[in-house]
Amino acid sequence: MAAPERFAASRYWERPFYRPLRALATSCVIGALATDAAYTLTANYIWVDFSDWLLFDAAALGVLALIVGLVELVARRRHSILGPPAISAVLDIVILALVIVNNLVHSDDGWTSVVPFGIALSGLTALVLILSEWSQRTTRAPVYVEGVA
Amino acid sequence: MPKLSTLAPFAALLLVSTSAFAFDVKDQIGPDPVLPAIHQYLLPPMHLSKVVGWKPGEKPEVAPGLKVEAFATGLQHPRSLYVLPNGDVLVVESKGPDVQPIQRPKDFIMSVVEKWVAGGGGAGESNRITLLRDAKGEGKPELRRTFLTNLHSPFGVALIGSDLYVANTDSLVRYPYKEGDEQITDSGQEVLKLPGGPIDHHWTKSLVASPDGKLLYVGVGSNSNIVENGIQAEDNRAAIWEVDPQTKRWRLFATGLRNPNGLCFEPQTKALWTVVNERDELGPNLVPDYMTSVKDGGFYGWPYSYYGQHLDPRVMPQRPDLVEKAIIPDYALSSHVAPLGMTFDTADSLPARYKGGAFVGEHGSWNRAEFNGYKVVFVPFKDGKPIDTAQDVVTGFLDAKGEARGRPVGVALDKTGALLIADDVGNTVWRVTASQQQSQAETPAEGKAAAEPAPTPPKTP
Repeated sequence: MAAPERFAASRYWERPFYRPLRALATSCVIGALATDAAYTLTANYIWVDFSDWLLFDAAALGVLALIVGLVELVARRRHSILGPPAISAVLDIVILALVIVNNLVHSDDGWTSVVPFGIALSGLTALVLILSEWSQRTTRAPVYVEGVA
Repeated sequence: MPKLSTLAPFAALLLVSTSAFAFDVKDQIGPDPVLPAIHQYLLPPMHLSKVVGWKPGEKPEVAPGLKVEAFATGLQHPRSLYVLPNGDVLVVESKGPDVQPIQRPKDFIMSVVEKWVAGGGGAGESNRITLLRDAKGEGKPELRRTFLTNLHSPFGVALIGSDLYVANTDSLVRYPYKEGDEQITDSGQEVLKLPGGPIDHHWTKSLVASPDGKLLYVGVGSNSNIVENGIQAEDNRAAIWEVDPQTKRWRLFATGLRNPNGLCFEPQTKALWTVVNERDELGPNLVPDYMTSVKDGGFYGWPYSYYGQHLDPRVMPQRPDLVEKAIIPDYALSSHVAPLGMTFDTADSLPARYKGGAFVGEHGSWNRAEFNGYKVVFVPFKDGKPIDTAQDVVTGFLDAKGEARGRPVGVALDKTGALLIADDVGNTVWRVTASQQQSQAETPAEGKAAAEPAPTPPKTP
């Protein structure tokens, strides 16, 4: 086994800009679930406006993260012999798809833009997000070897 | 993959809502419209007609027995018309207040799409009233003058004696007027504030004076499609106000009318009538726009229900106490046609079949794949009630490619009894007359001395 100390240090496949963008996008997802819940409980429409913007931001940041992630994947492929954990990459794309669909559901007017499908999608997205995080913690980290092409 | 299977119903929803149903629009014209099930969209259809304007020599098509000519061109977004007692025509040129804040991403996206296609209406100075004088009644105004300026998205005009009232989007203003005036320089006196900004979704304030000249009725549209700006934004909106201009006292005459326009009095029963733009985004054939007589204290459903007790699931909390007494409107015009103007044929110069019925200007749809409206229709009346199905009177506002040469808004009868139509994106006022009356054109229509060659039925009271 080569360079075991590096193995420990590179827990994630390294994509320095993808990770923080993804973190911003996912925090908006959790925020939208909270504001959807607030609207469901209060029927005060201001919460829908918050949800709409949070989901809009989540989609915009998510798309940006996807583009940056792909660029990083290509640009840094020389440095890795394994890509990102396949399952978490798939789950991230599922999350982005759910967020985009949820934007459309939330673009309806009134109560039915949130209840039942809007908040259900927000909840489902949060669930997939948890799965994605969990999958990255349990997937064996990739071997990170410099100079292998 | 549980995620994908959860998406399936949404995908199905999208397919269902965008597929064209074999639905006959005519089933929604009349007193008892067919109301299909609600379809909420994943992606609401935005199908606006690109504005191309009228090329030289082009004009709308008219029903048999009629002819149409441009009465005035080169206007700046003419929205409504008012004919003064001496026959002078006031053209209200008006643009929306453009104040609606971007409250959510959808507002931003829709405003971009609307600006792209809807545009039109000329780039010059609007929000004014232009006077057209056609003393001979030939359809060729010999005088055209800017009558009144410094208005704020005006729409309705009404004259009571020597008081000319103008309904701006945010105020009702009184100006002194005497017969023959070609211009008003007085700055006017504000009678009342009307619900305007900061959100001003349905901004047109329709206006009519009661037949006895004592009261004014003002149409005040809702501040949203279906309360998505919060119920607080709807205070005193989606209603017809009754105003006593002398004491400035006002009250809500009728409520639950999402966007009431074309206020006028039915000539036989003297009842107040209005055309109403109903709600969007429940499907291509929901909810039919309508015309209705307006009952004092009546509630017509918006936002809680439509056509009586059909609940709108988008409104929470609901108000069963109000829904219970929601009045079913008199006559449906079919969905998304956007009626913005109405006038009754009280004169004798158009073919007799039009006598006593109502002309309605349908601005045209955006919220359905297939265009609906974009024409002026006629609804026959008998004993103060609409009968039969509506007939097309003026069409051809859309060209063969579905692009808009113009869109009709306000309608009025001029002093000779011809039908005038304000065409906002075509920047034109059209004048419709009976085609067999060419010989009558020489007749001086100036009034008292005018000898009518054709035998005409006596005016009904």
